[in-house]
Amino acid sequence: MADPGTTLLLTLQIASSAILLIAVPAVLVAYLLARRSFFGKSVVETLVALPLVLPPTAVGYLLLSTLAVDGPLGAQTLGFDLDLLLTWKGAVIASSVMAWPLVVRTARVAFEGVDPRLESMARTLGFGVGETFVRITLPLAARGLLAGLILGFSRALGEFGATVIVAGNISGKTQTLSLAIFSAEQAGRPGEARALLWIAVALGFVAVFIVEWLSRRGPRGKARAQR
Amino acid sequence: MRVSLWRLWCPLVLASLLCAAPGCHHHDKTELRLFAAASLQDAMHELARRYQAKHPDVVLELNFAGSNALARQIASSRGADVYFSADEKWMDYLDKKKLLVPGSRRSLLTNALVVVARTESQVKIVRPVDLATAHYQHLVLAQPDAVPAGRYAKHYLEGIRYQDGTLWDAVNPKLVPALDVRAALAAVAADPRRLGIVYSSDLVQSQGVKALYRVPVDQGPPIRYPAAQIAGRSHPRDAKALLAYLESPDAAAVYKRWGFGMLHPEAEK
Repeated sequence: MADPGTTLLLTLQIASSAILLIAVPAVLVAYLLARRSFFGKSVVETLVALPLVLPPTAVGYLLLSTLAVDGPLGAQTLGFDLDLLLTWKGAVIASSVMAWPLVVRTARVAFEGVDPRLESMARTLGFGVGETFVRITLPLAARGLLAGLILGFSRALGEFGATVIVAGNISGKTQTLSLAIFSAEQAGRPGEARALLWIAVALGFVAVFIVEWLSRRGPRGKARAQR
Repeated sequence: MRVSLWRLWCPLVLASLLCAAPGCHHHDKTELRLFAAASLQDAMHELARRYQAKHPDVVLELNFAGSNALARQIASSRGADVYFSADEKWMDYLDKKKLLVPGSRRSLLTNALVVVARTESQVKIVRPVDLATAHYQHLVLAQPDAVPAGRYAKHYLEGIRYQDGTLWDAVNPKLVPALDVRAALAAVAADPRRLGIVYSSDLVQSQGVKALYRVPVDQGPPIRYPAAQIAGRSHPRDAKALLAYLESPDAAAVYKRWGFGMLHPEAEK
């Protein structure tokens, strides 16, 4: 098994890549769900929430079946190999799918907290749709969006069920912190399991601390105590 | 918004009803828990059926996983009456913790290693070193630092010289660990570009997988399946009887049919 430092770095890399992958699509989908009504909206809402309510192993199995050699996105069907199974890229895909609902839902709440009249006012002043979104909506929703991304990141950090099925448990390549703890326990190496556990706890503390710090600061970055 | 009390109580009542349902207990029968290595599951299912037919007052609960996982479970919960491991190391682990009934431990079975691939695979393994040069994507083993099947395979590969190191060093980059030997077999069956090393007994029930190379018994690691009774349980005499059955000539016939070798040919008489 790889040393804890390598495992930690790999875990952070995979979780970061997962969040970077879904950040933009999640924000856009969240804005759509917050502001617009359209035909099939409830279907979209259900699909967004699905990885949250399905067992992670079910999601993993679904991804595995899709990406398997003879699956809909497999090497035989596509003609080329996406090379996602048993790789760190597969781990990123699995983590991003599991983190997706958390990011979208938190971002949606953040957007719903932005007064739509402010957006209308910007439009009457001549701002385009995109400009309004970037200069008015995003800054106002920023704290909530950031909290959503961190929440998703924490979820991606702790991902186990889907990751182990899609990416396997390959030390140094796809063995994240949660998988490493499991393997160390299974192999009867409690010292190693405990060391990894403390690293996971430390990571968790940092994540929660940042989210709390973000929620303590008032709008436009001023600390609430100053008002 | 006021929520009516009815809406609040209904789900809680439903939830508590659900909690009462699972794990029905056979109050009039003796429950024995048998923890056995994953590779033993087919043989154990058959033996359990036969045993329960002969002893209607006994209910056997079977738990299959890698022998390492089972040993860890027994060490933390003492939740088994009989433990049937795929190697001596994990039996030693429990022995050192004084969890075995003294004198109950005996080595019953042996097995052999085999290199496998999906039936349509074109890969040829004529000699072990072909594993280093053949064209395949991944080599799937049961977790080589913990699960017996993987440990045996690793031990075997480490014993073969190849270039500046061993065959183990050569195949390491392609290594994919699986939870237990049956998971390894399933992974091989799922993708024609994978090879795996499993027990020859696993091939007896397998579908879509073929043997590429059978490791000769005298060249492979010595594979031993010990069984023992776990101490501190509530039905020691029934557990002892079960263990005796697992050692009997009747059982030997079942093991042989499922591809295992017997360590004590006298039992066949």
